[in-house]
Amino acid sequence: MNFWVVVPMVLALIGLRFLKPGILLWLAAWWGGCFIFLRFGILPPLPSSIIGLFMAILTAALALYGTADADKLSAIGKSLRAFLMERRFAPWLWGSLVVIPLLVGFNAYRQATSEAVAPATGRTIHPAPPSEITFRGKKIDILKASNPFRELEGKDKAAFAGHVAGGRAIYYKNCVFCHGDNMEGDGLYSHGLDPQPANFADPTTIAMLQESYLFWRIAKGGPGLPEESAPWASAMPAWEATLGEDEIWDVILFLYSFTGRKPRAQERAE
Amino acid sequence: MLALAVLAFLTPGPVRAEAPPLMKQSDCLACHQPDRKVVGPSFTDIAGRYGTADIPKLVQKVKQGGAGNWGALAMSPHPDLKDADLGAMIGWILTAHAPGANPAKGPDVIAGTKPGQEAPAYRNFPVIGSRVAIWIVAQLHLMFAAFVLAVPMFAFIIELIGYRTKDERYDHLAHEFTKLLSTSFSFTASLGVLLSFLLIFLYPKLMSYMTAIFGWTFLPYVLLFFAETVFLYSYYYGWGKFHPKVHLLLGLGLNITGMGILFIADSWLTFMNSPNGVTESGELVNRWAAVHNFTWMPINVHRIIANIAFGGSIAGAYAAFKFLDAKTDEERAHYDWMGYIGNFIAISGLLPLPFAGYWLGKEIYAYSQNMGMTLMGGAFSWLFIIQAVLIGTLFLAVNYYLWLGMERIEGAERFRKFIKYLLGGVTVCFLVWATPHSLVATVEESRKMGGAHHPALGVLGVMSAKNTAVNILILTTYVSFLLYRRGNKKATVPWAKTGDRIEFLIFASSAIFVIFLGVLGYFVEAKVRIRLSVPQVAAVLFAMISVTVIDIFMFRKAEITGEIRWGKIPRRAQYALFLIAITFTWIMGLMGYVRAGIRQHWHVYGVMRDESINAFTPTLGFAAKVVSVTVLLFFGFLAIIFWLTGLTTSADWKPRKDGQA
Repeated sequence: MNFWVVVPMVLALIGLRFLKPGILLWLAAWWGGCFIFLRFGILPPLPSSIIGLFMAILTAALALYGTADADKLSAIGKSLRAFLMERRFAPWLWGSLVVIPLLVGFNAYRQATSEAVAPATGRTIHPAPPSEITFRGKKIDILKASNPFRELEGKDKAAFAGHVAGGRAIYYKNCVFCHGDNMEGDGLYSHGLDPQPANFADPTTIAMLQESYLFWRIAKGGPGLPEESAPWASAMPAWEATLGEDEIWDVILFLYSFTGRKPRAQERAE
Repeated sequence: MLALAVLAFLTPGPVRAEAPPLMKQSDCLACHQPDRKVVGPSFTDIAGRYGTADIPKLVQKVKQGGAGNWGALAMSPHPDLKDADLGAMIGWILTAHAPGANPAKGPDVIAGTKPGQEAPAYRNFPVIGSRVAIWIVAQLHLMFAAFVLAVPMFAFIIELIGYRTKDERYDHLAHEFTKLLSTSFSFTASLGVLLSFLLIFLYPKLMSYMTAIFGWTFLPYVLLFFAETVFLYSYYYGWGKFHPKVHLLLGLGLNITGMGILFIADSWLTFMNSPNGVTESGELVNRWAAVHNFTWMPINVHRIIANIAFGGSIAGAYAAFKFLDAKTDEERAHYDWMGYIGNFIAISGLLPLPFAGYWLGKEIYAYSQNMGMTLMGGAFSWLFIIQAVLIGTLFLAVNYYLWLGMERIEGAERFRKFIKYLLGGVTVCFLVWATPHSLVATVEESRKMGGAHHPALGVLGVMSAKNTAVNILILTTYVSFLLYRRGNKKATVPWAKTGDRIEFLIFASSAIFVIFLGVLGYFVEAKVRIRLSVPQVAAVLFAMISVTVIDIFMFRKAEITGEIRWGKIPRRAQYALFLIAITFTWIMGLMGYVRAGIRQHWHVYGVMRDESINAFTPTLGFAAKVVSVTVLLFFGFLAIIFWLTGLTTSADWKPRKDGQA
């Protein structure tokens, strides 16, 4: 949260209360406040798609508020009429006639001068895995497969630590360049990639997936993504060419151990 | 007329003597046509100038290409073709197109019309393609069918209420609802016939397979349809002509036959989603298992509930239409009340709907995890964001209608001050409910966020947050309803204050409980998290039921402080009713697409592949457009139905007094 924006804004809204503004001004203040909060108040900044969605909902809600009972509606009508007709509002009226076109013009200027960017895309985060993959000639059932070393966690601590250490070595040899030192998807090469490498520290990525799903993603990489949400632009290599089956399971252990997350358990087969 | 034009478009023109296969494999036909000059001269012109003696010369000419003989445009060289093949091809050109080569030819036949010939696997629908054609017609048929099934359900219940309470108003209302029925019934049947024709014409192979599996269900379907027709018209035309009990029995028969038809039709389409009772290659083993497949019952239940919600909202829209058109206060009062009841029915259907949907989703996951993932996490998950926005809109509109409804109640002004808090609650829940998990972002934006998930907003995108938001939404809407109900009443029981406090406590504690479980969901395993939704729902249901019970006792001998002035609702509330109906229809179209679309390139999932040119999954934008066009078409038809229904009460035509017609 950006307190330099949020605190003054909240104070301004509270201050406005004491001025007993008309309903119209009050709605406008809320609308502006919501927009400023969403656009500048949240860090890191929200994508404009979500700001648009939220503002549409908020605009509808404020419009409903202003018309939800007869008193408010007539108050709005009255203040609108006063604003347009009464002499004391004339400077404001003229002011808005100047300011609104200026704002629109400024926005047009901003859009025309900004650099061209690739269009925003919705990303399918959890593409449906195939039920079975062929890993170096061996068939692996993605829906049922489990990490063969996971059970060591409770039984043989030393052996388990060995596998995690093996995974660590593999990670720093192969994965770190894109997925980053802290697994936040911000490695050295990540700045050249779109989509960004997956952020494993995010509680909604690997923590929501089964280990077999990760195995599929690592083994088959970008080329192995399903057709259903094509075109894909993932630069993830298919690691089955480089890493063996056990090595992939090791690095999966390391991903969870480093981030402190737990894999999603296998559902009981029915 | 339109049908004729379409047929004329669909049938290919007459064909002449077949070209040899070599001809079709090479690129001759790109520049040469039999009778027409295109880039190069027509075959007929060539055969007019040269004879078979010129073949060796022409073979060399084709191999080398060149220009000058027919015009300035050069023919490309064809060095790859063998001399013998070229000879055969040129021979065919010269002989088959020579003047008088086809003297006694029979009439030109239309291809694919030979008796006994095997049907093609697919035919194509012009311009929009077979898939979109079937899509739109099936969806329209379904919307009308849903309405025709729903109206008898609540007409029957309202009539029953009228019979038990001896309140004539209810009987009239039920009768008015059934007025909408007869026209819609004919539209449903016509659209059903159109759908069958299109399916048989466009997808012959699929239909022959489906007929092989389900042919035995056709007879009961048709018999039920006849029975439904008899029940429907005797119910409608026989209003007031029978003993009320006999008439109610007719209504019951109408409902049962309608339900039977729904169940049979559902078995066909659910079989396509989750085939059962067949071998891996698709041969039928067990007839009943094919009907009773994994998603059959969930779809049946989901559709019945959704039909009630949808039907109620459409009936509400009808009332709103009549309200806005009303000339007298009496009419306004009547249609205001009808709109209120329609909306009430829609809400009663809406509230249990998520649970039916949850069951359906669970069965889809259990049947095929792949299909489930595609549905909720993969290609189709964005449609659920649109659905979320539409459902949020529904809740906003419903609450708005209730608040505006308080205008017709004397004394309800005292509750106006709560509106802003209720609205705040609904809006916050709506925002959470509509937040996508992975956001649509440009590269710049996603770099700043560190991925497709926003660190603060991402947590609102997962199931725990959604479940919490929707439960609070339901709870808030219920509070709006409660305030509405209390509008003109003042409790006189001595424990009224305590009662209020207890109700408040129940609401507050269930809301806190729901939020607590929602937050807890982030800290437990997925297996546990999924189960948390059950106590959340239970808490909300408990709050709603217990508060209702307390309220009933509290307001038993309540003092009536003002009357309900039906018809005094502002006109803008009627537009809220329209919005509700349109939103319902839209959701229905969207979810209908999701249900059918998750099969992707399968006709029958895992059994019969879609091998037509339409076997792609449309982009979300395209799908949304088709759904929107369908919704528009539906409301176009509905406007006709409302108009036709209005004719029954409009004044008779009379010749003018001056004797002119």
